[in-house]
Amino acid sequence: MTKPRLPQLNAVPDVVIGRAIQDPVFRYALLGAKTAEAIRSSVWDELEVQLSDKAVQQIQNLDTGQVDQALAAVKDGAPSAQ
Amino acid sequence: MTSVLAASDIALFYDGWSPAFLHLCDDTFQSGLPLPPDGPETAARSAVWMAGQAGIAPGHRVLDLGCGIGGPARAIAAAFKTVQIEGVTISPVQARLGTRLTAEAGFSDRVRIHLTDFHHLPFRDAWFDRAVLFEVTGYSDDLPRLYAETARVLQHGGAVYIKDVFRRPGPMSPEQAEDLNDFNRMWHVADTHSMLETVDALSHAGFVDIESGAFERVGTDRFVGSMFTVSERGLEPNLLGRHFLRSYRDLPVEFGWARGRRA
Repeated sequence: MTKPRLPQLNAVPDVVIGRAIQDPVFRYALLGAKTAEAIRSSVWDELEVQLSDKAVQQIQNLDTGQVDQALAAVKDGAPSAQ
Repeated sequence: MTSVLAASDIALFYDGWSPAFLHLCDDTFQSGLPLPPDGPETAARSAVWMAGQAGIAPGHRVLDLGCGIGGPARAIAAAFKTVQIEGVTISPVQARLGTRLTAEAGFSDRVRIHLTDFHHLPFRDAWFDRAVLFEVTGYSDDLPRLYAETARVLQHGGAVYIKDVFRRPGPMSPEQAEDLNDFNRMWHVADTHSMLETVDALSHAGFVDIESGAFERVGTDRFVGSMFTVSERGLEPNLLGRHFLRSYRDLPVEFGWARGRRA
């Protein structure tokens, strides 16, 4: 039912991005993973989501500084509740 | 009663933002997804789980008040093979987009989306078995009217199920009041109602066996993640993020549910 007919803008599923934004433990486990397999199993274990090769590549290209910068866009990383 | 101006403001808000939410998030415009204890966070799983909580069963006629572009309705139709769902939205863009997506998904015979104000429903008395309201009651500034109209179109013994963001009980500090005011303005809601107001309005509308509570699990990762885009520059707030991300000091809201049966 999700994203009918439209291409996904992010190869990394929104739910993975959102968890990384909201959960520092998951964020650092994800960004600290050294191999593609470690990234895949981190995401599967936590969210039951399978990542594509492109998604894994995008995650490998991210660093904590970039994510921290994104979080700084929202003072405490807390979005609206609705 | 919702003023003409308020209703048109809400319609304009969703006319403008619905394509962006569909493009950047998905076809379910809800910030929190109530879910069973285990399993992945998806909008479809949430809709089907809430349908179960609402007592939706095969063969039911279901009214989805404030249906958006019909994501939950299509998910419920897919899970409950003989259910008929009528959705209503006040946004012409949502009605057109939802109707198109429903046709493309092959559900036009069982899911229809109507353009109307949910305080004035174009359905005959006692037509529906169930009515659901998923994160929409804030768009009513007349809850008694909304639930009276809901009761009118439900069969005797039919039931309403509400999932929403509710104002926390008790007095608010000035900071909380300011946060809530900002929240209401940003989302163009008339008011974020409390559970007490909701239960009271349901009772006055003639609903009985009213129950309410909090959810064990509400997923917000999908919604938060949809506000960021991964690019060559890294992770950045996108159009939704730049407009809707906020840092509140103490926003006095919580997710909850209520349901009641028409006597």
